[in-house]
Amino acid sequence: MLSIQNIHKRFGDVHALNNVSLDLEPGLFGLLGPNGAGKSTLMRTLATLQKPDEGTITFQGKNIVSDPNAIRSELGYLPQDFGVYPRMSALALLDHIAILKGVTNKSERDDQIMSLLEKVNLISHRTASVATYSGGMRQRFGVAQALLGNPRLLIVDEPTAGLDPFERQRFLDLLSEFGREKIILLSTHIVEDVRDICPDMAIMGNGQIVVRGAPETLIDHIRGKVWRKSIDRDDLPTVKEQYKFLSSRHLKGGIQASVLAETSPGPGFEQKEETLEDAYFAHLNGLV
Amino acid sequence: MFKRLLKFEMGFQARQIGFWVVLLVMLAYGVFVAVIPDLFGSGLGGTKIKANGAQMIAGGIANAYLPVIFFGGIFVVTGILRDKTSNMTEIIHSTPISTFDMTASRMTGVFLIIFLSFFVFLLAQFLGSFSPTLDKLTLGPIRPLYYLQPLLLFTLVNALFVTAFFTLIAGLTHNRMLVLVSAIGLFFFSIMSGVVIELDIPKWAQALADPFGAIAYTLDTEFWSTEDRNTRLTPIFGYLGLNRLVWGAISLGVLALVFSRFKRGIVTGKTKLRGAVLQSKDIPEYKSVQPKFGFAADLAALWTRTKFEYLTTVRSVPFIILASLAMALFAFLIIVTVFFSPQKLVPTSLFMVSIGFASFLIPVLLIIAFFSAEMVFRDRGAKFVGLLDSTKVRNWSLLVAKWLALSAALATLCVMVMIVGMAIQIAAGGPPVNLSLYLKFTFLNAFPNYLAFAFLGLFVQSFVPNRIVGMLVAAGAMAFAALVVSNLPFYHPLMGFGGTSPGQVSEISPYNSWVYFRWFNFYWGALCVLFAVLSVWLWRRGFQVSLLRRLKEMKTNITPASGAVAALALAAFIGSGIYIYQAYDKVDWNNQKTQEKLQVKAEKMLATERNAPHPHVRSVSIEADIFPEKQEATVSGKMMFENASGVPISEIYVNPASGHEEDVKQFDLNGAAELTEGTNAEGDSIEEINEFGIRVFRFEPALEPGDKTELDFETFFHAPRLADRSAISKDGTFLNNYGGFGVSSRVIPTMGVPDMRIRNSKTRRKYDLPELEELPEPTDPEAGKVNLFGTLTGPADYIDFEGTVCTAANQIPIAPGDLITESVEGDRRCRTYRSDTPISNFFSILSGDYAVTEDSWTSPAGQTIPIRVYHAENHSYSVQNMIDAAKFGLTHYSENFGPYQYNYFRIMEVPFIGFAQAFAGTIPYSEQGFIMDSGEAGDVKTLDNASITTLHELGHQWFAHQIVPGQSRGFNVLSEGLTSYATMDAYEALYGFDKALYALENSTIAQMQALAFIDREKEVPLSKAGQQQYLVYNKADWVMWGLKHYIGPEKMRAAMRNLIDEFGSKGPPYPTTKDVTDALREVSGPDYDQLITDQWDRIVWWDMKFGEGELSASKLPNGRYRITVPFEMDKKIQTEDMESAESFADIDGESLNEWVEIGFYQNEPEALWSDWTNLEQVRVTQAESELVFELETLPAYISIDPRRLLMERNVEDNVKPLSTKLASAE
Repeated sequence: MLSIQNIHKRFGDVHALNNVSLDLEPGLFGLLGPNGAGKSTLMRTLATLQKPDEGTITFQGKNIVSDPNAIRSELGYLPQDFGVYPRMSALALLDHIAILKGVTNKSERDDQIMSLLEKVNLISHRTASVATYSGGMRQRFGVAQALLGNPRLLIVDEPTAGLDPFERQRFLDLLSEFGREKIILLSTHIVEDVRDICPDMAIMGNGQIVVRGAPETLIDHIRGKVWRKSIDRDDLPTVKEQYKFLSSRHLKGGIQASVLAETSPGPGFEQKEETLEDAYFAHLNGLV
Repeated sequence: MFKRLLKFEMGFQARQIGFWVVLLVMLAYGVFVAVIPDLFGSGLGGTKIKANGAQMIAGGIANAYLPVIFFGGIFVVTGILRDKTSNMTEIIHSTPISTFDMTASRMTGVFLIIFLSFFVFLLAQFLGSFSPTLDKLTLGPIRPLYYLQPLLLFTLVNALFVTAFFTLIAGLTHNRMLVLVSAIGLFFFSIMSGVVIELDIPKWAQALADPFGAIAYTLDTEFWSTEDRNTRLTPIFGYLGLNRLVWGAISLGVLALVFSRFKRGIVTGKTKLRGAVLQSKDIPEYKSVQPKFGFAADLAALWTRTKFEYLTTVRSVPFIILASLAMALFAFLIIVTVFFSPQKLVPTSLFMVSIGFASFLIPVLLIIAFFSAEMVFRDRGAKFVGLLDSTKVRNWSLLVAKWLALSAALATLCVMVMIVGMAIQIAAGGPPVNLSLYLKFTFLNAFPNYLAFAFLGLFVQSFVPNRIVGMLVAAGAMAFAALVVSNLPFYHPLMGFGGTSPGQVSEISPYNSWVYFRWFNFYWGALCVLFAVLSVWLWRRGFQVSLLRRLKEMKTNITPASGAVAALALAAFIGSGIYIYQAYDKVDWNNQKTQEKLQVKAEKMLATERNAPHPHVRSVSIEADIFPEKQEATVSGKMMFENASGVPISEIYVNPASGHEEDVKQFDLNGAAELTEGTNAEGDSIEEINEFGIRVFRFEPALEPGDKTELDFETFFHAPRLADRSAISKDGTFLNNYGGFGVSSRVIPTMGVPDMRIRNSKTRRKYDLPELEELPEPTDPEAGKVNLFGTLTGPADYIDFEGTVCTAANQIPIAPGDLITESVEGDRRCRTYRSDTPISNFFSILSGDYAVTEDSWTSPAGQTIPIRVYHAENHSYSVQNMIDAAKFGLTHYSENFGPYQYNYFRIMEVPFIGFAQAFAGTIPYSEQGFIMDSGEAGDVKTLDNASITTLHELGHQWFAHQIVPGQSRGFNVLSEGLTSYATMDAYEALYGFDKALYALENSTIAQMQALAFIDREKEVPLSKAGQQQYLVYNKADWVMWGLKHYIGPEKMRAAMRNLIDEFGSKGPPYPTTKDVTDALREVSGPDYDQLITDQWDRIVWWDMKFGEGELSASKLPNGRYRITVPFEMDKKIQTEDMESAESFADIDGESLNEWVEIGFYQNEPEALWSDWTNLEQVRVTQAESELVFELETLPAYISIDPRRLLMERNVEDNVKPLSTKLASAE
């Protein structure tokens, strides 16, 4: 349904998207990558807010680079960072956006807006000015507006940033609910978001798709190969140099380093249960 | 720390594009002011006031507050508010930098940059003054100090004030929008403060009202002579000094306040979160809604966006502030002009719209500049584009909504202005509101113009990088289109952006120029549509919106529909442009440059022909058929000529009444044949002469002296055409036989080559033309041969006149002469007039749907003269004053100067003109003159212009129509000057001395000061004055007022009577100013010989004040009081040969021997000047003297020259209270 073929995007010297290709069908698709990997650029490009320098994007067979309107009417977009008009209530602003999206029947519009406000738990704040919302509330408002109309493609850029655990879960549930009939492209750097709800995903780094597959498949690539060891802070550079280093974290005064190896890399290393996070680092750093 | 921060600050500002834009603008502004002063400077530089003289430069700086205000606001936004706009507040404000260092360095940075921008402005102006293209005669010596001193005096405090003002707003609100709004607000305020000069409040208060010092500077310099203006540096200890001190202190105080109150960190706002609780059963289940497509959905989006944009705009704080300010300015200016100017006005609907809206234009342009940028960048400013631009809303819906919303917001403003105007009109007890006039003016004259500017403002937003630059560029584009383009030498009406008016508005006549309205609205409308389509194509969608990228991708936005609209609009624009151009071309429309070249050619080619003898008109009989509804007319008739030149005449030049050959239906000169090819006797091509609209006839045989001939003519006058207005108005038509009245057309042929020479001496120098040859000196015997009207309507003395004028039955046709017959047949009314007293060859024909107010006056000889005022039904406010003044004037003038020569006196209200004109017994008088409030007769502090103008035009029946000036230097003084004297004499007799003195002060002297200042040319003595109004009307009025009160009114009137006895209604020789001064000298005696010379034959200003010594009083043994007045007097003399005035003390052979009046008062003299207990005349011969008086009563105040008999500029030091402490008698 959505097909991205060999797109490139450069900003001066920065090659933000480097030959990216993806084909997506309805369902939740997670896009995982570090800051600056090109996730937002890809999403903005899909949201028709900027054009790729090269390559084609088609949605339901229509080229959306040359005809952005082909996708806009089917699109729900939640940008990573957005503002709102001052002194407009959530109701008024949703009503405004709904009309722009073509929801011109008033009763249909009112019903949909109320149901969305309920879904994102803003129903009791509906008459307050959105500009005065807290970060999490604004994010939930963003979700609601993205679902106005009948979006077939939902692009959500870092949607769970700033949500408390309860709202985050509620949000992910919501996405799962819609994932049955829509293409939902979820970008995040929070690995758990993807692991919990996305049947399909890709890892992006340096403007490229490093790997694509179901989270389980990606984990399969490293199954049984992740080893862990507590080390001194001073030894970290040595570990990074000597092993296929995955990640490290401070733990109770020491440092726990994870590395990738077919067999035990050495004394002190113990095998650990592999996670999506390990798979992420392994793929991102080209270790598999 | 402060130093390092300041350095960072300057570096930071220098990295902003705005900084360089400002410097560049100021640089260009400075160069333009110096190099193209007529367009960008005051344009006043001439042989009198030098363009680079001290006052011109200082005044230029004083008035250049406009850029400082706006740039200051922008610098403050960058300097003070950048933390918020760049989301750096948390980081910067949590550093250990002290608030003082942080704010002080930023404020200092802003201050330095504003100062720097002014320095650049002046430097550019200084360097520009070296340009070789400048007219050297308009320049004086180059003096750097003239630039430097005002730079320090004005700019230091102004930059400080602007910094303090904006920092205060920024510091308190942390809102950059409000800073920009307050910039516009400050600009409004400075316009409003300019009006205080009209108010009757102490001068120090006026000086302090304007924070930028311009008014204070005006007050300091208002009495300056020409030399002062060219060479005197701005005084430091005057009103300006006071102003600088006070505003400097206020600014420092405000800065201190901001330091102490500066809100560091994040400013929190109010939040209201909870709404009504809903039961969840009321909430429907989420369902997808299939969006609608197509045009209907796009229209729904457009409607939603338009409502949103409009409501967001009109509910925004900036709109409310700016609209309130604009309303306040509008109301303020109306109230000041209606109630506080010397001449009170009736707040009619016409006045409200025509004067009121004039004050509204600049505020509207500023509002447009602000909101065009604000609206276009609104979504980006709110960071809403990500959401907005990914919806399916069409670019055109977004854009058109903004355009419609701005239009609606402007319409809202217009309606608000209308409501304010109507409210004032009703509250002030004015006449009933004429709603249709309000609506017509607002939505046909004003609004289409605003709309075009709004679209221009919106269009330029497509090309700017951000909102602030957008505001500046929009303001610049509009200023360029509105102010600069029309002054370009190659200006064509096609370039007059947004000029679509259907004509002036009037309560008498409907609009007269619909064809113009239609075509130009179509033409500019098409351009605006094209602007809109281009803007859609260049619309910023999404995130990558650099101009270059949008231009590159523009073609992808071109849809068949938008392409078709653009093509149609382009075709309509070009097509209508060509059509309009052709229409103008067909009537030989010339731009300023072509016109000047044509004039140069005419002057050179027709130098001999212009002075060739022509026969005199002896009689005129006309038949005019006027069709007001169709705006057409036919004027035919016969003119009888006689060769009175004394030499045979073989070739003559005649000007038909229409420039359209096809409209000249008949043009036959008895005994002469028209030449259409070859050359005339001078060898000039006939065809080229014809191009000037002049026809050439040859008499064969020649017309011998005393021979007569006859011109039969018939001319058609067409309805309005696109490029060619109609001579006929739907109501209130005013036609004449002289072409110089603007909207009033000449409909009768004239004899002789018209004088087309360029009069402006700077323009003459530009074309290397010699100085305009002067008329003969007043003493030249040649001077008396031809009269004043000869220069206007061709050679003539007195003529017999008969005219039949037919018009629509509901209108009244009017011409000079006695009404002989009147007939109404069907829808036509005809009247025949015949003058049994010969009239000057200067007459008018009118037709209007008039109400007539009648009265009559009986002459001393027992003849009854009807007085009729023809006016619009509802314009009777001053009609009774006009009639009373006419009756009073007829008595006064006929008793004192001689009999009135006609059997009728008529005044006709005429729309669209700005003057009254004295034809023989018939006075066309502007509509504006009919809505004045004459005030209470007993109120000595008001002007009654209705009476003054009536007395003036009536006075012309003696001075102009009986005393006809000969063609010599100073000729106009005999017409306008003597009439002004007669008017003032009658006005004083009618209302008493105090009301007359008020008129002298507030009309004559005030106007003289103002007009003298804007005249470029070197002043000449009164007896040789040319067309300078400040001399021929005002100075003549003043000096004759002075002489009259010295010698007594009776002697003065006797002098005028003698003049009329000698020259009145007699034909040549015609009198000159020499005859006037002779008559004055004869009645005044040798005692006033020198005064008359000073007043008429040279330029003399006196300066009088109390001396250094003590003003004292002592009681004498006889019970009387001795008053000792230390007195100083100077007399500045300039003869025609002198470059500048000098004190009598510095000129060999000059001495002081002046009559001076000293008035003694019990009460403040200003309250009632005639309330003196004693008025003493003394002869003063010393520059410093002690004047001693013995009086019956002890005065409380002493006033020098309370009746203003001597021409003195500064009379503020002429009144002094006498301290009551009595010295003991000796």
